[in-house]
Amino acid sequence: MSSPSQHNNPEWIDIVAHKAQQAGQPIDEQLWQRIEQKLPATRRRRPWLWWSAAAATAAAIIALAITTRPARIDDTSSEVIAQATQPTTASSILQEAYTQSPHHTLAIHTQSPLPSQKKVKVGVETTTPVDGTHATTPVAPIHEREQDRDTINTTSSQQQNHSPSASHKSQLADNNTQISIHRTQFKENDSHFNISLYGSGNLLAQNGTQAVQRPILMAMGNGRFIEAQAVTHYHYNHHIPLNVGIMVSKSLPHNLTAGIGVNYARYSSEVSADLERFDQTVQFIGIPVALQWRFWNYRRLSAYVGAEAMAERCVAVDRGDEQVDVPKRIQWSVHGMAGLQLDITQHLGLFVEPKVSHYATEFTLPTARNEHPLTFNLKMGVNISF
Amino acid sequence: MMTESDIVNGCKKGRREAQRALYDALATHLMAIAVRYMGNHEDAQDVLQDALVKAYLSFDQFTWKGEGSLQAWLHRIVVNTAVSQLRQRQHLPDVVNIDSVPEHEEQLDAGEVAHIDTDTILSMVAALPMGYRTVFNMHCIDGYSHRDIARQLGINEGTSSSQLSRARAILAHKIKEYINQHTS
Repeated sequence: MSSPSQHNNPEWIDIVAHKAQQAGQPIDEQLWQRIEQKLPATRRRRPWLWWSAAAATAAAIIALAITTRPARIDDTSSEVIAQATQPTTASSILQEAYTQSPHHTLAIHTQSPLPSQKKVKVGVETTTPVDGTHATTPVAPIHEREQDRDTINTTSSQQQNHSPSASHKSQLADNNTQISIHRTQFKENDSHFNISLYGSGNLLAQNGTQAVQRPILMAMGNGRFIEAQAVTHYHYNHHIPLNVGIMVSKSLPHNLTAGIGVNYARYSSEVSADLERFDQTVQFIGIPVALQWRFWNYRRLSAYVGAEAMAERCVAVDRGDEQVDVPKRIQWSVHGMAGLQLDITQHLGLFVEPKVSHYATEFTLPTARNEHPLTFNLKMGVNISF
Repeated sequence: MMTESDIVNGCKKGRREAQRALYDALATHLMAIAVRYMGNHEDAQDVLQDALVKAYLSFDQFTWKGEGSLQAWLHRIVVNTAVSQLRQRQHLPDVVNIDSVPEHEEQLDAGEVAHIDTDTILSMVAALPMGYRTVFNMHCIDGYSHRDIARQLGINEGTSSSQLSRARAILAHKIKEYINQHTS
């Protein structure tokens, strides 16, 4: 494209061209709205998402803080299993005690000899393996087992509360330090119920196409119209879907756990066809029912496998400016999973769960979950037991 | 107020406020181009809508080369969209009474033409028969060569040249009539 004046036009044409180039024409007010409808929706900021994430994090931190409080040791029920009078032997005493009961909880209590009578308690805990392979004595089932705790007390000459004998008192009078190891006992809380908060997403985002036929009237040369089908090919670029939920489960015999919950799923896709481009969002609320079997434990780790069935209802469809009826049919799906849980504390665990899903009910709109018969998800969450 | 650079950056990110700012700044000018090509307001509005949607969706293909480059890019998109729509109507022949086409182009005084207001000039151009109007717009106002016009419209260069001659003759005649009516 070159300048019109380069074409050696008569002067009047250059004036016409100049006027035309400078011209403006009024526009209907609705034009912008029509253009806006054809454009993909601007990503709206969703502050509630951030607030929800912040609230969940705060709740998790509080739960962690509550459940990680050092356990109170009941000195009255303690039993002395080892003692020493020199501070330097504390480590050897601890080692000795650990050798005697390697899988029991050990705690060191130090009572300072300072005049301020300041007391310092330091707790060191080890969890007894559930499978009992390293235990010196047989381990009862998890609900009935009483866990032992060994306590090492270092007591100053002014602090004789826990001295088990008169000979120790005389030693303490010499301002020596006495170290004694007590075995105290407490009963572990039964874990009957669990609450799991989780989020999951597909491991891979997917693409797909859909051909939609629409009837049109075509004009024939003789002035008549015939009905024909126009086919529009929509290309779907599916984003990674979001799944969040909560599940309440109950421990059953034979290391089984059964649970029921509520699941929210959101599938968003970018759809394009010729000049059209818009965003599609489909939202589901579902009720999952799950059964899990815990087959392996090692220290704080445990592994399980499980199966889940879910009934879902589509609750919202947002598809550009097109009016789409929300499908009312219940969507059924089945899922198989294998999971690994890490117990952070006695009551709080983190889990990660690769999951394979099959959505059995046909859904009219393409989403990431129905492009293939099987989809692979990764589920992660927090498990609170009480 | 957003600068042209801000508008370009915003549109590349798909931000609605930048898209709206571009629309507010240039839509009336682009509408005038569409009216020149399409000959009526309704068709022009459809062309402008399609052109702007196309532009917004393909903004990542645009490289800003300084002030004015955005307007030039949008100008080309509007012209291409209009020509594309006109080509779809090519099976509809121009209904031109051959007797109404002057044999020779009137000699016009540039000074007198300069006094005619822009809207009148634009309406005269828009009133040209479709084929003549398209070639006149492309060649005389938007600076396309006959070769480019021939390629875009799917005609040969000779046809483009002869249509331009007739367009100029008709327009010059109309302007002459207008001047005569308003000076007498």
